[in-house]
Amino acid sequence: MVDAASWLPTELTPMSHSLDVLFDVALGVVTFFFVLVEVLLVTFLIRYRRTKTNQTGVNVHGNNRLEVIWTLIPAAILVCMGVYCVKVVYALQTPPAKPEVIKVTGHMWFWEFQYPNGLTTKNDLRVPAGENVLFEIHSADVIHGFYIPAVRIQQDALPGRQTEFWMNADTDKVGQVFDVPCDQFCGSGHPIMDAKMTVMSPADYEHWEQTQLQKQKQNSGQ
Amino acid sequence: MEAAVQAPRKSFIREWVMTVDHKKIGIMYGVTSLFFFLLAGLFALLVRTDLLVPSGLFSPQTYNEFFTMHATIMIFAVIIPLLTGAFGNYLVPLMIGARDMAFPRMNALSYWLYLASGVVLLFSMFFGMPDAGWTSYPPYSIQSQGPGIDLWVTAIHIAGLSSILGAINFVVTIHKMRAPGMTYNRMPLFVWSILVTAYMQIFGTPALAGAVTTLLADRHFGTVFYDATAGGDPMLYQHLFWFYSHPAVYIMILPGFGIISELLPVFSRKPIFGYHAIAYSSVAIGFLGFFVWAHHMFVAGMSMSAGIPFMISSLIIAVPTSVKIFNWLATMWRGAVDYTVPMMYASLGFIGSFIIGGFSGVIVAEVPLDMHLHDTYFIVAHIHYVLFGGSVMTIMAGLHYWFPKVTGRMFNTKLGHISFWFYFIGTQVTFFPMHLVGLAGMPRRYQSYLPEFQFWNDVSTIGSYILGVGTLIIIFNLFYSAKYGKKVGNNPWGARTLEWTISSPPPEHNFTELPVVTENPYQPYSPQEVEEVATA
Amino acid sequence: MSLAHEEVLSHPDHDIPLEYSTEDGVLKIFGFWIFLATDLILFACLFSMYQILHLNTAGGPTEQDLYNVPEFMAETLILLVSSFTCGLATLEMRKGHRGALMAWLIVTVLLGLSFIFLEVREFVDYVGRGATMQRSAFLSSFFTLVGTHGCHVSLGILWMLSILYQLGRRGIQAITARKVFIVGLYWHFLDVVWVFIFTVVYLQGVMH
Repeated sequence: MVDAASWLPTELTPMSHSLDVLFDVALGVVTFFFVLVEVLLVTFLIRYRRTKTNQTGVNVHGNNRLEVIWTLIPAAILVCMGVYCVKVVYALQTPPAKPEVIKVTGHMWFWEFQYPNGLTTKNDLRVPAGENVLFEIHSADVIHGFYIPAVRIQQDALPGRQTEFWMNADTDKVGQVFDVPCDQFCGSGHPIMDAKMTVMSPADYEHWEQTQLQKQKQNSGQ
Repeated sequence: MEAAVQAPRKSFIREWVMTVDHKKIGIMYGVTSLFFFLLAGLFALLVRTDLLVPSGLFSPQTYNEFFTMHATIMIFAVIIPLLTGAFGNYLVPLMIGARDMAFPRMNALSYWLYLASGVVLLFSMFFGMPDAGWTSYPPYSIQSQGPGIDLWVTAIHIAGLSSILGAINFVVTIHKMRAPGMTYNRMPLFVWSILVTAYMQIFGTPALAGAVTTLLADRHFGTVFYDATAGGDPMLYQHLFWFYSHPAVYIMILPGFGIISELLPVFSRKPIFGYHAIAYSSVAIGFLGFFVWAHHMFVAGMSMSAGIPFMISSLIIAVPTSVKIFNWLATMWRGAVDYTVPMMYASLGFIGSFIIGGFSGVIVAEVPLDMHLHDTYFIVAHIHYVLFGGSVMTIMAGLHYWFPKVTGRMFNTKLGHISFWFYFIGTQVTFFPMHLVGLAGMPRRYQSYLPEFQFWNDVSTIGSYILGVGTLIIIFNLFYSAKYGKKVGNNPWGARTLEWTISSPPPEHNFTELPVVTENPYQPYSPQEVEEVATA
Repeated sequence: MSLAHEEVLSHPDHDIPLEYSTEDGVLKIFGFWIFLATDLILFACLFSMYQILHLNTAGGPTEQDLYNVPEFMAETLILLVSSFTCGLATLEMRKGHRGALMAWLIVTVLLGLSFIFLEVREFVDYVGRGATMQRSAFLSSFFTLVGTHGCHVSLGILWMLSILYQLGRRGIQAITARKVFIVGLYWHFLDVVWVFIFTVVYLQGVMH
């Protein structure tokens, strides 16, 4: 029996860590209001239930001061969250200098990866730890979703349009393997369109890229 | 069913098929959509059953057809027609003191079109079901073989036409046919919510028609709207689709908000708190609802920063919604809350569950968090807390609340309470675990999944069976009691809106004399009135 | 209701126009305005599709290759004049002149038919030059937008013919007056949409 996955998966990158911090803040805020509303709801249900002595409610039609308060306070909190998010968006979006560019192509139903030296693999993604990797995402047929839960980012793979995102794996995750599922419905192979991403040390990655390319050339030569 | 008792018996065809009476049309909408509710529920149970084991029990193609049918039927053949077609049709003319809708024959046409669209979906069960999800994104939906998608497009077209005609009817009826003295600020809040909903249908539905028509043209006439190799753009479809389908979410919840705003003051025996705030926040939601659509597309090919305006509008739309929640809570404050079946659905059932969907909505509205959560089970949890914990709970509250008005009889209260607890517990058990697997990264629309997701999926499936049993109890209770329930008076709840001033079921022309309205229906209760209700 | 409109007819200088003299007329005219709103949204969607796709010619014919200034100017003028004659028809109806009303409606129908004739000729010409709606996303959106408008105009012509028939049989009374007024609204609406097509499609297309 495998352990039940029930929360955010491993944080693979510094960015995934800051996204989780944002998630925790957002979750904290909504949990506060959730508890507030549920407590008020249950309290009012019990405290003001209809009894022999409590047959009618009081004659109150509203209160403008309260209306203003419960309009402005949520609005102010949401504005703060929005500002915080905008900052994160720009950090996420700005691609780093000199990244290792891996071209990702979605097919029905597998992922194809093309590395800078021309090597192509199927469903086998390798990334060097501690280095900036930029994914340039395309589709050969229908829309797919290129999603790495451990990185907390996905972008759709579209025909006729390039999308991209970047990542920088933590060096202490070398040797670990992560799931790369398809996250945009693409037909009957959708759930099995699952690549694996292995984090390697830069030297191993370099070595792997070269030897694989040679193997591929030999195979095609035969 | 009931009218047969009063007058010389009319034939079924004369009484129902030929009718242009808004109440009969409303009942036909209700019964038809409850039938489709059972069907869509069956598809949901099949989907959940498939997910009992990680490898899945059905073939991927079958599974894809099941979830497509489930969502399409629930949205276009159950929730929208129940809330606007059934509740709206039955109640709006009664609540504003009118004899019928503005265009009774067009009203009947709306119903028959709706039925036709449902029948087309039924046909697809025999000729090939759609398999591209209720969103039906191209290019997949263009490549998909068989008649499924074509039948789907046909059904959407007919349902859309029915929706537009219905909405025109509501707008004209509410603006032009209110009883003397019924100013806008004296209208029941349910009428306000239907008015806003109708405007949303009018401004949104044509975009859906445009989207699915071009999809059909691409499939059969060789046009290339969504073919990237000939200059087309698949994202264009998504923009058009969501320009309707996000407002559609508000179309599916605003009338429910209206139902809640009617029930809470009656069962708390207290005026509604903040009448104007609740009415105008519906208008605000209706307006803002048209500026949030691209939050479904944060990862669909637009740059992340292009999502920022849509993130801001999606966060802002939470404000009018929270204003409503606080006003509802304040309505119960210092009230005299009666634990009736409709009140249980409205308070614990609706408010208690819906806010979870509201709050998860705030989380997925944030662009950076949506990068992770988009199209995972977290989204599935979110929409089901909104549509099931929200819309369906309000529907059940409304069905039980107006049941004595429509039939003149009371449902079985004990069974009603039992079904409520099945629904409340079933909702949490089914939909809450979806948040957890979603956070862990399980994508939606997966017929099979990784073994580590099995535990919570199994919990969900058990929850869905609880909901299935609850649904059967509700349907049995309502249909059985319509015939054999205990007879009750005209106003068993002590409610104030105009429909409760006339007999149950109401006479054919509603009001022998048009009522003159002098104040809104949310007035304090005097002890004397309370006594009258108790003796009635 | 029939009593009501006869009463109105006997006082031609009554404040309320005939088409608004019954509750039914008031409701239907208001309802038709709302319907026009939905149609407007449909056209707005088609316009936005065109605006997004009009440069995606996929190597096929471009706007400049196709659009012919005298041709679309003629279409525009004909449709604008038909809107004017349709307005004159409504004015004659207000004065109670059945003959003039029907004459102006016939003129409007004839102008509409010549517009449709020109448009069909334009489309046939394009298709003959290989510019079919299957050729590129630009052409798909062009034919859909302009063709949808053309279908609306054709429908309007049929509608006017049926109203002419009713006017011939029943003369000007509350119901026919309402129908003339509503078909007029529809016709003016199509004219407004065409003004946008003229600007967004044709002028923008030849001005590059």
